[in-house]
Amino acid sequence: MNNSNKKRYSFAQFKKDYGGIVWCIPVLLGILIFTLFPMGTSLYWSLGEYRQVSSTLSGQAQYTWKGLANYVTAFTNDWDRVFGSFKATFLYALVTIPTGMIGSYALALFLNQKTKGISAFRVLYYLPCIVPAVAGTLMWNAVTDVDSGYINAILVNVFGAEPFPFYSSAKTVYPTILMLSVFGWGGNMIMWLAQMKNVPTEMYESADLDGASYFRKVISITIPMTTSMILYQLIMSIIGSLQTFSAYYPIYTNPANSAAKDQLNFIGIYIYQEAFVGKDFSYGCTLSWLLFAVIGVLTACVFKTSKWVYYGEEQ
Amino acid sequence: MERAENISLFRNTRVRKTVKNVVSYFFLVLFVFFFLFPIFCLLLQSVLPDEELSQFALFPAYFNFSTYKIALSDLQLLKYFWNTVKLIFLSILGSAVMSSVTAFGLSKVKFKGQDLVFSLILATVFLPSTVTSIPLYAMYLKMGWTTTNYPLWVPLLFGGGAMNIFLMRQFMRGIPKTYSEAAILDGASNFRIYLNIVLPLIKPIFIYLSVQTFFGVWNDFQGPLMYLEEESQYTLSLALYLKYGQSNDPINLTMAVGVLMMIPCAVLFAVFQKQLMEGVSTIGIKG
Repeated sequence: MNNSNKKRYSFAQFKKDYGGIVWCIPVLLGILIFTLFPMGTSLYWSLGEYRQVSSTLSGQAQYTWKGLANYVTAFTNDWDRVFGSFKATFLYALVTIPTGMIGSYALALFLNQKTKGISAFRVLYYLPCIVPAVAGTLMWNAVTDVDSGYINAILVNVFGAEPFPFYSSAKTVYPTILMLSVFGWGGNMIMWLAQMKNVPTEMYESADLDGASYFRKVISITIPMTTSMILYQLIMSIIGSLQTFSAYYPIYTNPANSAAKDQLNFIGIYIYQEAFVGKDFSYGCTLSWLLFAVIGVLTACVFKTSKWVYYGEEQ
Repeated sequence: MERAENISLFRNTRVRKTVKNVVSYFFLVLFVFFFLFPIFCLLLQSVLPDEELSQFALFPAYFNFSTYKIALSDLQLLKYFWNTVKLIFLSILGSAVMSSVTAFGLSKVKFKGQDLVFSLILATVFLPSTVTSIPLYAMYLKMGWTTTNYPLWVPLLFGGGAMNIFLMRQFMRGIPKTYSEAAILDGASNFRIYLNIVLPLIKPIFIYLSVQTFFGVWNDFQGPLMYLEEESQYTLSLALYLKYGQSNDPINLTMAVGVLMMIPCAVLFAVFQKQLMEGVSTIGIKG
């Protein structure tokens, strides 16, 4: 007998909900098949040994349960490489996230003016972002080549300087990444600009009446009114840069950059190498779960400290 | 006296305004040179004469447009282009169409556990793709999907992707309730409301997601690299890396392909600039 005080999910309730649930069936099935099931499999594999033997059929692979052995390996025998890889990834994130967010925000502030022809400038600044990712990477690969690259041609022929080693030396890898990341600021700039447009103009008008300076308005109006976008961008950059792969894999595999392999061995690349090149699925899964843990902790920290975010008036 | 003061004040602000304009235009143009440098490099390298490829020249002796001729007459490239276009259309079916179905279920109808479903969808954003991609690769291999392009678009049909659903839902919540309430009074079913009321109103976000999907699929390199094993299925991005991007290939041909690949994106961006900006602005609004 159903106690009416207890809210139990009844058939009558289901009949009422059916019309809504039916719209979400595809996504629920999708999460089950393409997220939850692979997650379970991944966890199971990380607790054993599973390698792809033949390149055509994984069916021949044998799974053997090994408990936490892979995790122990990651923290002992392989620690140098795992730690090195996470260190490289963190350095990459530390180099690109703050500069990228502050730089693109400043750029957006600069372009958020009512000068004639400003929208044409926005398009021009955004242009580097529509260079196809692979083409861009290969282009930089060629342009930053120590012996035949275009930038060094300028440095040597015009300024009479020494050629700059760029990606080919461990010391200059991160400065190079930082320099070239500037060309990607246009993408973030567009997002900031869209948000800045949403700030009510009356706010600036009343600030003008009070005689507020430009910087005062930026600090007291623009920044507080765009905090929800700042939080979004921060979270997305953390998730994105910790998993970075596509932009640096062609550079990592370029033999000319072998001296900087450790600096470029980001965790996303390391996992790909282990799982898809080395065909060691189980260890790849182990590393993936470690990465998941790191991302989880970092994003949780950001959310926990996100009291500064203003979401607009509650309706 | 007072009038004279006013005039000089007026002149002052006018002078200040002109100075401000000159300074801001100076920097605006300066930055243009900076931001166009990658494009300049791409174009310059694509017309480099073959004999100058490993030279240290500032400017090529002549423009070698034969690279474009070679690229455009490469029938393989046409095939990769067709593969990419197919994949884009199939992906849009997921990212724009199916996400609108899911978002409708999350915003325009009510059911118990709705918030839980939404949280579940958003939680998948935080999961690194490598956690699932390794078992998924094994699964696709077993099903024989790695010889097809299914792995790159079939999963999208199931819901349409977390971020797309999120944006679609944000947008649909902005549609006044009165619209659908009137339809319910007329006895319209949910499906009719979706088809006749919601679908026509979500056009801006639909275009935004479609264009974003175009950019995403056009540029995606990781997905095809992981899941596509047959050359007959290669997308342009993957082919650019695997077939043209190896160190023994002439860089001018690679860059010519790169320039050709950039054209559709540039055209789309120019045409849909307004919609792209509007679409982005839905992100920050509270869910």
